[in-house]
Amino acid sequence: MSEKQPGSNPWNNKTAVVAIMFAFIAGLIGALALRTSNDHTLQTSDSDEPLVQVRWRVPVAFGTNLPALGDNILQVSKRLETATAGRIRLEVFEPGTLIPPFSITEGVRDNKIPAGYTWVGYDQGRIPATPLVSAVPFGMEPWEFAAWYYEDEGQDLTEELYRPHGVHPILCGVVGPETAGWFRFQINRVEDFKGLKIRFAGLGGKVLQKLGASVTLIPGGEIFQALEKGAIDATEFSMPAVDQMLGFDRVAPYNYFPGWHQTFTAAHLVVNLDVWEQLSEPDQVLIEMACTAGVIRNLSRGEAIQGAVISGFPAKGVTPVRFSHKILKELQAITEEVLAEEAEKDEFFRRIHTSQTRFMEEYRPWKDHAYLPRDF
Amino acid sequence: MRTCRGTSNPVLELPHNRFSRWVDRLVIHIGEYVSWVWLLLLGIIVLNVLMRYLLSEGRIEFEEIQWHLYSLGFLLGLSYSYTRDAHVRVDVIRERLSPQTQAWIELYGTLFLLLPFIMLVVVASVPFIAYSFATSEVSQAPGGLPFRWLIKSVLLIGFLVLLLSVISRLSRVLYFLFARGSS
Repeated sequence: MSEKQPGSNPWNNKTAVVAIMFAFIAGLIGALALRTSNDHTLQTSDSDEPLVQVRWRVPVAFGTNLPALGDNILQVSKRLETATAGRIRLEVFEPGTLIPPFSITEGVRDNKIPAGYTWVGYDQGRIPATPLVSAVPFGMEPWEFAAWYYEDEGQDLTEELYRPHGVHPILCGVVGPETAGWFRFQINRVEDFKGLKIRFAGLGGKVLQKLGASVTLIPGGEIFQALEKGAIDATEFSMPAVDQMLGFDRVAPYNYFPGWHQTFTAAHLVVNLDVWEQLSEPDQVLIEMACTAGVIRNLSRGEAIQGAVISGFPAKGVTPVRFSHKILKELQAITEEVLAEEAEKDEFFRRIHTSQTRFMEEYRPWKDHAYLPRDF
Repeated sequence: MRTCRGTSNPVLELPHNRFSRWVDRLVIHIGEYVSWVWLLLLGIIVLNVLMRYLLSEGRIEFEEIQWHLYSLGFLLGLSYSYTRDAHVRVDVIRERLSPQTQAWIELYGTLFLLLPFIMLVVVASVPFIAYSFATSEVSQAPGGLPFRWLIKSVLLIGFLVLLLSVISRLSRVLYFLFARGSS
């Protein structure tokens, strides 16, 4: 080992310090440059011709291979792109490729991403009222929810809910009821939920927790593994056509109905509030129109494909089961307790819950009189 | 760790200084105390499994405390293993280099890659924790643990301790490269 003499070292302390500072600063700049840039809206400089290119990276909470639940945003972005001749482009990113699926609105808030497509109930850890605008147990039917959202207070309340968080939510998809879950064994009484380890989202999960189940929330893509390995005993996720793609029918033979815990399921395009406010009004309206169309197209697609899946259950060894009226009544009683408790804890929850309850009462006479009974 | 390496070349022995000695002792102490979480974690997993399969009583709190403890263990273990030099290096190449070259690589690796990375994590974790605190974030799972900002703060703390141990090691590398012999 040849040690250099002190005198032969070409580095004196000062140059060394300068070199080191330079290296550090270069490294820091390099690392910052690796962070993705946020110039998602490229303004053209011509002021009288406000032609703005809108390029948004849009991460989604559900894989776009999932019918209705996931593919809706692809349709929305495609229609927007076609209608604007490529001027407004939402570039969809599969779950987990840009941002974890449960952190989408947080990423939008921090402007790491300009927008995202998600089920806002995933924010309930930070914003307790969000499940009310995404799925409510014993809540409204899909068109009833649309009526509350567009014609009553729904949209205003949802926007107000997210405003302090710097996020602008746009209702962009609705599907009908989900299944009440896939179970390895039968549930004949509400007591059977006790001790069950189950994946259940939103307020329905709180109801099952009251019944003694231990309720966990894992992203859609990870459920099958957990169910197959027995890490969970049962799960809900979405409608039969989606659940089948995730393979639940291969590991859990009992599929329960009706979807008491999510009578409707709403998805929102969440946009960073500053990004949204910088858009011109025509562009805002265009995006809103695309999303409103997304709602009815999403509902249509969801309704269109479930019947055939359920008909195919016997061939796969799956038994579709309906909870008895008695179980549903008991679940509803607990749901009311849960909603009342949540309303007590959070002011915004109380406001939205009150608004929904009032609307449902107003709607009730129409619902009771106008529609044929289900067995017609 | 260092002794069990095959040594074709003399291994880089960095001289200590007062600062690095003090910091390393602190980091080792923290690491040793924190390593008790592994025992605690083991106990909780066993308890969780027994309750679930013998008493069919599942507990989400237990499930969540498991990943909380795991995060605590490895985020604070980072600095310990760095200080102990027990982390993975590309030894095949490193062993063949002279201590002088090893020290230069270490210097530039630390300055170009490690320190900027730590700074990024530190800078990004502050709003991450602040938002969680401001919204009193709780677990999304019903019955899950409250005070999510606490476990998120461990990310910041873990990286700050790592920063400290990196600075300590950097001071030793600098001492080795520039100050050696002049004293």
